[in-house]
Amino acid sequence: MSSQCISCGSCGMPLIKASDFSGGDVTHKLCAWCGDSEDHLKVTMEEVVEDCAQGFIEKQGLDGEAARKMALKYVTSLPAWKGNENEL
Amino acid sequence: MNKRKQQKEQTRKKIFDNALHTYAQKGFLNTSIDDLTKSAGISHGNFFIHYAKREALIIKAIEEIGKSIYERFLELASEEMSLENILSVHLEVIQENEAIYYYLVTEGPFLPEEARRAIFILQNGISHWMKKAIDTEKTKLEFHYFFNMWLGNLHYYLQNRDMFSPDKSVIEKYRDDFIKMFKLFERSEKHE
Ligand SMILES: [Zn+2]
Repeated sequence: MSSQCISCGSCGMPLIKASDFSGGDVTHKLCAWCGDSEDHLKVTMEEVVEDCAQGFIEKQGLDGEAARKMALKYVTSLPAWKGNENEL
Repeated sequence: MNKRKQQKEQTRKKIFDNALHTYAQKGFLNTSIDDLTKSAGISHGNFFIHYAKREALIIKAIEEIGKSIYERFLELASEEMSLENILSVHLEVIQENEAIYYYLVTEGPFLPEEARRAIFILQNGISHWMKKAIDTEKTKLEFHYFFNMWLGNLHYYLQNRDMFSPDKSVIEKYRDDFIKMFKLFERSEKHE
């Protein structure tokens, strides 16, 4: 398997090109939307869940409430937010 | 890693690899603990040391299958691809995993929630790539209808593979027609 197949630790977006990574640095764990140039989180969990739910609605046509539930479960399974399921 | 730990890892891997093989033959829901322990050559007690429940192994297996299908997809796909090529890559990766993907499709709604979510996340990844190549302006319909129509069609043929293609891969048999049908929705600037 290709070593490039990694995804953002906060939102799950696949990281393919250098510009996908925070700070354009391919050793970083976050995408450019979730992380600052130092690879620290610059988004809240609520923002990530909301963005993720919007994606599920647009791309797969989910009902709003179902999309939000799915997004919360998914996002809190990712390393940056693991175990924070009850925090929203 | 010490020897005992190494041995434990090996047994775990053996259970897992054998389970994938058995799932591809019998499905997730029809595979019993007996099938799993027999194919791995271990005792029931040993099985439960590694996976507390039958569901835990199903979930782990489906998460891995979803991940590996998507990683393979990412290896073959690129952002500049035409719709035809994206669809072709999608069919190729499904065909490579057709035996087990058949059970994701036929048993999907009856699987544990975490497993269903893993399947959903796989489809979400694929949809991201298809979205770039489809022209929704032309048809005045939101993108998700196209994606669900594509999956719905593909899954219908897979679910009824015994009727559509009893003696070979149903994807192999219909791939060109599936793609031809969806090429109608391709973004015009991507035509060459
Ligand atoms: Zn991200």
